Amino acid sequence: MNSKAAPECSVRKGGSHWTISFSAMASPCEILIRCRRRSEAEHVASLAAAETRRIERKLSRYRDDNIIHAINAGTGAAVEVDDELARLLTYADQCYRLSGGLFDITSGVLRRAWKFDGSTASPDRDLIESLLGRVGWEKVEWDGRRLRLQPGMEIDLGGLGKEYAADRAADLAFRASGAPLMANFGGDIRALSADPDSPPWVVGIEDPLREGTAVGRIDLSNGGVATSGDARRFCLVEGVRLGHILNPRTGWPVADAPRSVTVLGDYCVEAGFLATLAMLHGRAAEDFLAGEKVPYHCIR
Amino acid sequence: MQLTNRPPLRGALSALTAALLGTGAAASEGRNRVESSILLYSEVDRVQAAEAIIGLGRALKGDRMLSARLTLDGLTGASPNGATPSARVQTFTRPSGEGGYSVKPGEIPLDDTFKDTRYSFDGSLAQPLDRLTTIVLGAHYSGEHDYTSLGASVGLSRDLNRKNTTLSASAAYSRDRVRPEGGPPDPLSSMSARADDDDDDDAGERELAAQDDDGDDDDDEDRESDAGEGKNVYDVVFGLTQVLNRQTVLRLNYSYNHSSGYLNDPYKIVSVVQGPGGPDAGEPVDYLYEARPDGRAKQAVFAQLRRYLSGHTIDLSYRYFWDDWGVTSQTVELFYRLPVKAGHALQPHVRWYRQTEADFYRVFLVEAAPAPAHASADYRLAPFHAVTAGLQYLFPVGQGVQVSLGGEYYHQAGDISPPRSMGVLSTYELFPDMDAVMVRAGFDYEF
Repeated sequence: MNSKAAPECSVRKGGSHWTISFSAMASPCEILIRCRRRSEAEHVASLAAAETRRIERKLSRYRDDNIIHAINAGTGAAVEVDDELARLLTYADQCYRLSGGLFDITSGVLRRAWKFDGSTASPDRDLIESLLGRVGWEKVEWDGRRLRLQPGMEIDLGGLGKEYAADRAADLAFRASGAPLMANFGGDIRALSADPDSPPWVVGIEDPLREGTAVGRIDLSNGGVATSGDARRFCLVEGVRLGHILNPRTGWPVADAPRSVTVLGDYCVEAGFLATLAMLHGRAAEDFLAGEKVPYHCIR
Repeated sequence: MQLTNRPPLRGALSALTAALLGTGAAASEGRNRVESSILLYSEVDRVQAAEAIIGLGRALKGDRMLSARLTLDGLTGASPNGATPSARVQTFTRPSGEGGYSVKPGEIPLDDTFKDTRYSFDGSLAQPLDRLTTIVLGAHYSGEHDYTSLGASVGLSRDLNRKNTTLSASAAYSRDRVRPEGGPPDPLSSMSARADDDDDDDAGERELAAQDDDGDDDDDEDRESDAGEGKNVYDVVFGLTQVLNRQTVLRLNYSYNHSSGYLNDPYKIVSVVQGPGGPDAGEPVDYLYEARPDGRAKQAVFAQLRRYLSGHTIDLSYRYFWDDWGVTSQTVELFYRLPVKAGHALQPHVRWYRQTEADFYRVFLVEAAPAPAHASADYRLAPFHAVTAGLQYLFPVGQGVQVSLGGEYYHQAGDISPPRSMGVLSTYELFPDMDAVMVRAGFDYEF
């Protein structure tokens, strides 16, 4: 059933809630909301879809008409950014520091040396070496307003954007409706509720090896959930299975990383950062998460 | 990267994330909230009251919350003045000398000249200091024709343990001023009153002369009537809220309240009755204005357990109160919230209350006996117990509008015939039961 709220955005009644579905950020996006009227759900749908698509347009590195393209143009010029992007870059800057350099939004270029299609790879060590010269947040100039990259460097907010969109869309929808809701953008989840009597949403954690099989569940009323890892994206190097998470220091996939890490935090971006950083800790992922005292599921 | 002895990132990360998401330009516009209610309260044969409240809440940039509330109360009817019943008609005057009232033989004297309008204003601003700490600054003013109160408060709350624990502390100060008509009476001074002549009561003609014949006192009263009397009230509250599990929340708090200054009720009196030897044992010979100590320290502990079960909520609380006047009280209260259908809920509640008397509570004083330093016959300082039962229905009407309709029944009972009563007094109800009903309609709107 298509709604009148927004094109390519559907609103269906499902049990005690409405399900809003649209497609953005290369993912199915869904918002479940417990409000009374269809008109309310449709209003929320149009706000959330518009916000998500706005963020997608702004942060995508596949477009040539946005600020990310201007920054990545490779001219070596300083680019002045708006408030929202300044907050995101400052956040990324702080995450880089907190993670001791493991979380680095300039590391995207390393993917050119790898293909994670399950095949046996023979990595080009010279290429990795040369790409590493174009990686490293410490090489950029960021003063909180203007960003200058070294020639050849690129930033990629893909590791942050979908989580950020889920948080923003959920927040906007909640402010507009006041109703208990959960935004689920391809596994990046944020729930908000002001009603303590409202039952929590049940989030199943999928077995990465058997699609559609839940291996855990999280009951969520308020907070964010994010998952890092994709069991289908790996390569084999000398018979060793390497996941798609790249260490920006070495240029190589992290060895012995879990197949997937799911973290529950206060916000989706926070959960996403912790899940990614846990992956980057490889064999020590569980130790890292235990140290953070967050609820998590690691699947190996 | 070293994992051992590494401090968790979460503290710093949470603040960063809040900074990233908390001040989004498009999302920063506030939600406004209006809360209003009307309440009618009626004691059988006594006080009738009506109260209207309107409150406004506005979320401001940076997660600040501004709240304001205006309350209007109208009060009329009769309230016990503290005097004991008599076989004769008793006539009382107010301190101003105007507005006298007479009480039939055998009835508990009620002051039915009681009429007042009170308005009060409360404002507060809640401001997050960081993601886990909030400061609340508040101010209040209330006024009625003979009483004003001006105060300020500050409170801090901090979330710990992933918001499963909240600690709070608050302090408040208020300065109250009472300006009774005719000036505040001197404690334990005589009220000018007389047992009136009555058609039905041939025997009972008797004058109770005003004993306020001291010129100095008159000067004092004149001076005080301009300035009135003051009272300072300090309050501190410490609270702990702990989420025990997903369904259960425990709240504990301790409060300390200290008031000093003029703590009397200027309209309350104590009967002085003839001693047991006399021919009119138990009959009043005089009425004295009450005298309370000029300081009071109150303390209370409160525990509340709230449990949510698939939409149902059960809320049980207990409060123990004690003060240095010898009053102790216990309150047990139970709420149940029963969801009826989408958005509709039925909420019954019951409350049980019991208190002990103040050390200086006297149903009456005996003529010629040594005068106590303090005495009050105010029923609020008497030993009594009370039960309240109520029912509320909540339902939404349209987007963002919530309506509640409710009623409550209150029954209060004390010592009808206290052991110390004597003479004619033992034939009267000295603390009659009191019943009251209350209806309330509330209307909340978010936009």
